[in-house]
Amino acid sequence: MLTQKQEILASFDEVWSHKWESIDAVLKDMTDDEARFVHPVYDGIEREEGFPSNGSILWHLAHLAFCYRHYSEGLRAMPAKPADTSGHEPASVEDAIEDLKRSRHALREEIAGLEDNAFDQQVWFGDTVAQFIRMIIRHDAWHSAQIAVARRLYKMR
Amino acid sequence: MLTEKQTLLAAFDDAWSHKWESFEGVTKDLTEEEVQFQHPAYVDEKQEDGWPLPGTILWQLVHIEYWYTYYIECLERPTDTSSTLPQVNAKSTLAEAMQQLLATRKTLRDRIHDLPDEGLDFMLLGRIRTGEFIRMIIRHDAWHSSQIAVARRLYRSANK
Repeated sequence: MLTQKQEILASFDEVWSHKWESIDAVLKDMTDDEARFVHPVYDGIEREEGFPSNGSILWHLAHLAFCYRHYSEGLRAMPAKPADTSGHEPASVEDAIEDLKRSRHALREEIAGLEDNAFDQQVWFGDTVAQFIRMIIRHDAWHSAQIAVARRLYKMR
Repeated sequence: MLTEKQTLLAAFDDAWSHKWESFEGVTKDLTEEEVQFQHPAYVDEKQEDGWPLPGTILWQLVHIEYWYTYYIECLERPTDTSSTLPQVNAKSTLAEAMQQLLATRKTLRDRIHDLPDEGLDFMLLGRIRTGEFIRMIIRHDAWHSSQIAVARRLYRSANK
């Protein structure tokens, strides 16, 4: 049997690298052209400062990396609200994936460094750390799935 | 502190009903027309016998329920490597599909809940640790909820 922390870390790792429904799997052989493509269904969505065009795969990657930095800061600052995090507009898909991996690694270190009893503590918006990290993992799966659809829309453009 | 099983059950429930990125969140106020809509990006996909059109939200609902049926089978017969994939029991309307999905999900949750804690270490069908299997189920739920969210955007865009 796993402890709560071991289970959460296993879920965190698998949403990145499992053979089914993972970020690693959906990013395989991604090209820059594909990552920059915006389907017309996202036309009219205002572009956020420091982020790629909304609806592009590059946006998903930059958004995830941004969130990882925000989550790391949230765990370090808890129970206080974390300082604002800035976006990083990637120059290419390689740059985006590198930034994503770096910020994800830092987040994993934060989670792995938590004491077992820290999972019951509250983060800045009231959820427990355990709830917060479950949300992080679900958020990863969420964006992986949308990247998969974005790849289909690109192929069918 | 939660046990491994409690952690998995909490994640299972969150994937369904959390205020952010959950199945209930994305299926709120779905209409019959919306669930039957197929975006052109899916028209070349072959429709399997007994299944809704690929790419429709109805397909997503039937797909999730279909796999729940298989997961239940695996958890009920964890050593039976001869078990085959279930027959699809597709429903043709949103209400029917949702009702069936809710019922099968409840059974699946009961099966997970009834597992003894040490049962999570058991190698299901000799291939996958039960705990990992349940994590896959939860990830699969989040995955399809997310794709339903995109399908709703595609529908809205096509019907502007």
